[in-house]
Amino acid sequence: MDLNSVETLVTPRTRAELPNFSPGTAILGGGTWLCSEPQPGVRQLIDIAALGWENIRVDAQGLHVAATCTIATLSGFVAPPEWHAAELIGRCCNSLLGSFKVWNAATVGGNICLALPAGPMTALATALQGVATIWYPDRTNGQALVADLVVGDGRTALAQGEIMRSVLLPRASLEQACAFRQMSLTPIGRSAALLIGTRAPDGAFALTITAATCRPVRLAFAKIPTQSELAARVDAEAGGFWFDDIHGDPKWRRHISLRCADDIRRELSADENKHQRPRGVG
Amino acid sequence: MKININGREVSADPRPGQCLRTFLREQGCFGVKKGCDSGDCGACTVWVDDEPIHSCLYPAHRAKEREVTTIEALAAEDKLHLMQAQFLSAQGFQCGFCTAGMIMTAARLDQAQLTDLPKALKSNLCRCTGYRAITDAIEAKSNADHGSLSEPAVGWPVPAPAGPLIVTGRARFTLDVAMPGLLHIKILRSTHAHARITAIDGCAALALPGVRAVLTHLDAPSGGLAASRKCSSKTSWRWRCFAAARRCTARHENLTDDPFDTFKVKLGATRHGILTAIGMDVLSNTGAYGNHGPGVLFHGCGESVSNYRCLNKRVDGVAVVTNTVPAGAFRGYGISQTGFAMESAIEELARRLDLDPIEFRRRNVVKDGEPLISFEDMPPDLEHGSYGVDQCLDLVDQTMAGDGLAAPRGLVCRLVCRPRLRDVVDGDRSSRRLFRRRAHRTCRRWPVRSLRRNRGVRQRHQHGACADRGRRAGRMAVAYTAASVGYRYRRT
Repeated sequence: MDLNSVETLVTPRTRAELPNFSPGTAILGGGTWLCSEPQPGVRQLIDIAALGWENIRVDAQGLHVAATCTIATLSGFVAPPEWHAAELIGRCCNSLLGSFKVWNAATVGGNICLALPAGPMTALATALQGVATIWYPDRTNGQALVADLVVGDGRTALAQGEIMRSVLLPRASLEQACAFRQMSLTPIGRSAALLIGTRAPDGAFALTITAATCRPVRLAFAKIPTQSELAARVDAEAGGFWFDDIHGDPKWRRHISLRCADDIRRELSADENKHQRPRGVG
Repeated sequence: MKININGREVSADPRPGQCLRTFLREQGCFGVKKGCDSGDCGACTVWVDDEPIHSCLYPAHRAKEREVTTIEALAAEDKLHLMQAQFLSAQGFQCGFCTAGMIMTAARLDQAQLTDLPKALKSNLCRCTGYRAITDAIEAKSNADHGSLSEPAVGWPVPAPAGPLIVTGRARFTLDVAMPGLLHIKILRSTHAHARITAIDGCAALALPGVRAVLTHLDAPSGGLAASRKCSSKTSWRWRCFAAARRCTARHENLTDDPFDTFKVKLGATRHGILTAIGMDVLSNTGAYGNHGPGVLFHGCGESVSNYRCLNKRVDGVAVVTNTVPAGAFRGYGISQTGFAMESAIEELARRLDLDPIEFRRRNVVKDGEPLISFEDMPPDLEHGSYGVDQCLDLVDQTMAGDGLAAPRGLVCRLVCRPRLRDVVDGDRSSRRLFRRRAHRTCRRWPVRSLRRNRGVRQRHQHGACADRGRRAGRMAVAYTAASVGYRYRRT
């Protein structure tokens, strides 16, 4: 929709051209959320797509995804065969509530910075221990785990004027075995629970819970836990965060999360050598 | 900025926060519809450099030096795009408001997407068709006879006259008119069901930039049209606004949901799970005017109660006209709401009886041919066209059990009216009435063959018959099968 309160639109070509932020400034990524509801407080838009960041880059560290990379571009990425966990890319893209036309505009960074509990890019980056690069207003850079960046429903740790530049999905994470479960009240509806398990070659297991909780929760284990160990950890660490909205009751979300968690645990323990076998790619 | 719209170079600057949808409409592309304005309905779908997007979510300035294609340019030199032709052939529309977006989306689906249409058409909302006709269109099936009308028109699947305009985006809906100096009217609604207005102070609104006038009852013309002709030009302008405001309400306010406020459902059953009594108490706030109040109450209380065979039924329904926003009939005339109340009570009762809720329904749901009784003992509004409740219950049972069974494809029904329109079209009122009655009776007598889920069988049945359009067409009586409950709903 038209954002009628916007008075200025800035399309910076370089970092130096970024204007000063004020409370009425909003960063325009894909625009798919910003333009989807009235934004009466927004006076200035900064279109960061104009900065022309390279969408996707692979190097020794892993996969660098620009914040302005669209979901459609990311879903089209073909990973090297040994990146078993790249399968999660396609699965997480498919968990986006928006249509494939929204994929063509919505961005990875936008999805994370919007910090919705059901944000599938948050799930992907948390499960793969994604590291976000942040541009600070004083022209310096910083880094933060995406898991620490999203702190609540619609809340991030980013301060005013801080811009997410990119997310690095580390190579080691991408080489793990993975398992994925997603539940919603309707077959292609908004995620009510989105859980991802990863298992490293050394046996280390991690479970990431999103959508069911108001912020991403990642539980790491040195080896595959037992069912009761896992359930106890889930209750201990996600206990205060079960999300409550029209897409699912907190008790139900806890229930399905525990079921999915155990499913994932069994899937990843069933085949001890699973991570060594090539699997489908993103 | 420069932008290429449908092969035409346009030089215009969008406003800083403007989305592409309003920009394109300002350039005269009225085929780009405003639906939800938030990326949920797809009515505004266009292509930017051949990539489909929701233009309501797309900042207009980003189309700079790009090629934008709207529905208006899809057909090349009077030759319809294949997808437009398919929508026309299958009559994949009813009101046609969503069609441009539907076609612009469907025309860009790849083979993989075509195998999963519910997902591919997510965020393309159609309120009329139930997607059956749209699916037919995308699957290149034909539901209309576009040939000569040498055959009798009644009972023949004639296409909608507006079809060619609809599939090319040239059909004009309410807002599709370019008006210089257009003003917008915002109606302030009562938030109280009943109250006395003691004073109206428009100062705060008038102080806002861009507000031209605040109109109240004082602006209402008292002497009617004749008096208004004598008014000064200024008064006349205000008068026209007032008249426009009254007309606008027709579109605006009917978008309100069905109006139910409270339901009470009371059920009685034997310990063996046989219903002995159904009581329903419904209170609805239909808002001002009450135009849809009786109809919503009628259907809401009828269809939800008549699903079950039970010796004792009592329904109390009250529709209250108040001064709040007028309510419409936009969710199946309230049936979904009363149905939810009824089914919740059934569920609860079954659990208290320690019975499986599906089995409890199986024991009590109406059987084939049994009368459909709700609150009155008279010829029912509904009758059995085909019987599929048992299949529905089985499907729900299996799906809830989690074996991943796909939903059924729906039933095919056909036009069943045989009296010829030409016999009565020149007749007087009483013969037309007779025609309608005959049409009703015909509907009743002609069983609509239910569809077996075997795909091959379905296609044979469909051949030569009109699929479930249920279109209102003059004096035709159309039998319409509601797939979910297996009832035939008469319309004339």
